[in-house]
Amino acid sequence: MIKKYLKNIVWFLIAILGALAFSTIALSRNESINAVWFITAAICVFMIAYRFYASWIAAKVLVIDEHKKTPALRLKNDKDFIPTNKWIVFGHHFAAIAGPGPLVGPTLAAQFGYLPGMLWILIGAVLGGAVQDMTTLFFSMRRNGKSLGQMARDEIGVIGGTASLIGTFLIMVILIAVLGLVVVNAMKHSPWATSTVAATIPIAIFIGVYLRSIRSGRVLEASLIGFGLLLLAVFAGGLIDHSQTLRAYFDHDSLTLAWAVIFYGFAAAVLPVWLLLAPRDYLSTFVKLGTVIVLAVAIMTLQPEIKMPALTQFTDGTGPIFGGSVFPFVFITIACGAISGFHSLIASGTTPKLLDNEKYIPMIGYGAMLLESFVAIMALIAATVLEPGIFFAINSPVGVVGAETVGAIQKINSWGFKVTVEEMELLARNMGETSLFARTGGAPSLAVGMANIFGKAFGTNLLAMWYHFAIMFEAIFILTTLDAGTRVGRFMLQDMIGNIYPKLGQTSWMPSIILSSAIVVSCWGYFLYIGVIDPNGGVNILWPLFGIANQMLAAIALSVGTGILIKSNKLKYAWVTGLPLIWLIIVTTTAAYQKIFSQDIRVGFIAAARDLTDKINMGLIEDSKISITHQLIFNQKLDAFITLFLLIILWTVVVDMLRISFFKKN
Amino acid sequence: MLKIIKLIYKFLRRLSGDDLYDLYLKNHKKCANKHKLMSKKNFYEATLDKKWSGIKRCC
Repeated sequence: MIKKYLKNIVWFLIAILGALAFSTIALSRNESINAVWFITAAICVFMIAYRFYASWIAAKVLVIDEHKKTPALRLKNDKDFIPTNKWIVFGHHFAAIAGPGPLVGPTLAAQFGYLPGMLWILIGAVLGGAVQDMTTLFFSMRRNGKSLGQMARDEIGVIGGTASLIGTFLIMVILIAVLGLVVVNAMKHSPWATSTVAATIPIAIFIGVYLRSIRSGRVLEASLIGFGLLLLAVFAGGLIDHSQTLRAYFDHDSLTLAWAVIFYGFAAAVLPVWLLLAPRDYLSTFVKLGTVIVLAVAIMTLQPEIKMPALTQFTDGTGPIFGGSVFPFVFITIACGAISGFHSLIASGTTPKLLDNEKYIPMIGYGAMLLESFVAIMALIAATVLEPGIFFAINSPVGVVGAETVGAIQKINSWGFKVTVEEMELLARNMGETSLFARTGGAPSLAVGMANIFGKAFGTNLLAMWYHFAIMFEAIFILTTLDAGTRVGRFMLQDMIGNIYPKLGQTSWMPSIILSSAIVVSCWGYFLYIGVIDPNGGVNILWPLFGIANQMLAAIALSVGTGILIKSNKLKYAWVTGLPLIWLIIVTTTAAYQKIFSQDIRVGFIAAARDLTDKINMGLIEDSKISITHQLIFNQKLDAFITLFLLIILWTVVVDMLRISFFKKN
Repeated sequence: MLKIIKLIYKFLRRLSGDDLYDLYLKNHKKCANKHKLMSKKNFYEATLDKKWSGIKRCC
């Protein structure tokens, strides 16, 4: 009895502390706030959500039965269905869901100030993202580990199944393009960053050969060797940067680097898995986990002050990083970290085939998502501890602030954020770069933030090393996602074209591998090209497109969940998945509508295309730029078409789900 | 202390897939499996091919 009271008191205190931290963050205006409040609010909110909301969903909504045999036990074959320890499953699930998205999204959304992003990450994860992951995992487990596509086909119908298949392929293409753009922007005219990222390729290949032929399957020791080599690569990058002869080999513009990434993506999809993809994944997983843990410890120890205001004037949609107001664009920009449809593919992939007891569903489905949100919170902190002037100087594209340094500084100062040319030059020197102006994409500013935090914790004389370590850290798992995504895209395409010409469906037939890989790489390569030639930095176009696609996939997963709840006579609990679904429908539809039809040329694709056409007609475009302007016009129209297509898929699935749930008798 | 270190090492091996071949051998022996025993190299390649045939990494 006393124990019970004590427990209640502890939870009450956690709730009070969380409320205090939350209100401090929400109500602070024009005064600095410590990052510890962010961490405290996140931990308290996540603990309470996990203890009460996840448990309630498990007990009342899903009615989890710990005595029911899971697919891993019933269908055990030691190939796909393998009963596995819950912590191992948690590790695999977390490593699979936590990619570069929760680092990049919150960094970009910091243009609105820290508050919108912070609130959306906490609320979105607790009521949306974690619920989606947990319910999808449960429904998949109760259906012998079926994938989201199969469940959509079974529960909603052929339309739902086809829509989720097309949606998955589209999201893959846009995701790879935007991540490729992030890496390209981080390497642009940076010999140190380029040489370090390039070095990860031979290192991965060496580890691949080591793991296959020298010490077969010895993942731990190979990963340790690889990690040592990666550190050496960061150090060697510094030496290359200081050598006038060597740096010329690695000093390239965006377009050249984009072609390099495209060629690399093709090679990674065609080469055997053991040679490049798998060893890179081992390295990236270890680097990712290690860096995130060290970053968390450093933030807790240093307790840095947040420099970004709670809200900036850019909530009105005039932001330099991407156009669009705080509603709906903060909810589109931060997908991973709050709610990400992509997770539903993992939660209905390997994970349901490994769990040996249903009682671990909240821990894996809900808990792993909360941990990913925590990573997003740390990324937000790393971005907002920077002086806002510096943050905007790094992230504002040339198309907005101009190519001249002095003009760019004047423009940023006119927004009310102080920064000087000297400050930016000193920062670039400290980070081992020639310039940090207009380094869009989020990765460089996150790396500067991380380098500052690491520098303060472990010594400021190594700032340049920390900066390039952070760039390498981001690039290595962005490239893993790029490799893995291209490969999966290839399989999906082979599956589709195999229906027309069966020989092309054979995944190991080399002509089919080359053809399908080339098609997939061309698809994302084109979008990467669009991003690179865009004067506004590409992020303005590609990241919202990716966010809309990702949220559309989340809406499909939540539609499947809501449909199943309604059909299982649990209408009174359908709001659990229904509410986040309604929110996503509102957000995605509004964002898609604005991206297509807004008259603001930095938001609306059609308006931007029309503006460029008018400029050509009025003779405002130089002759040398006419052909590229025509291409930009075509790109804007193509983006409008894709956005419209995503919107049609979303509404088709939702309407079909409602029709089948309420009007079709089983 | 040594016990804890051993436990952590065992956990890390399991998490990273370092001990997959050991488990395979154990299982093969236990089940008196009719399939031909795979070499370490072949097993490693087969495991990776299977692992990377689906969506394994997210955004």
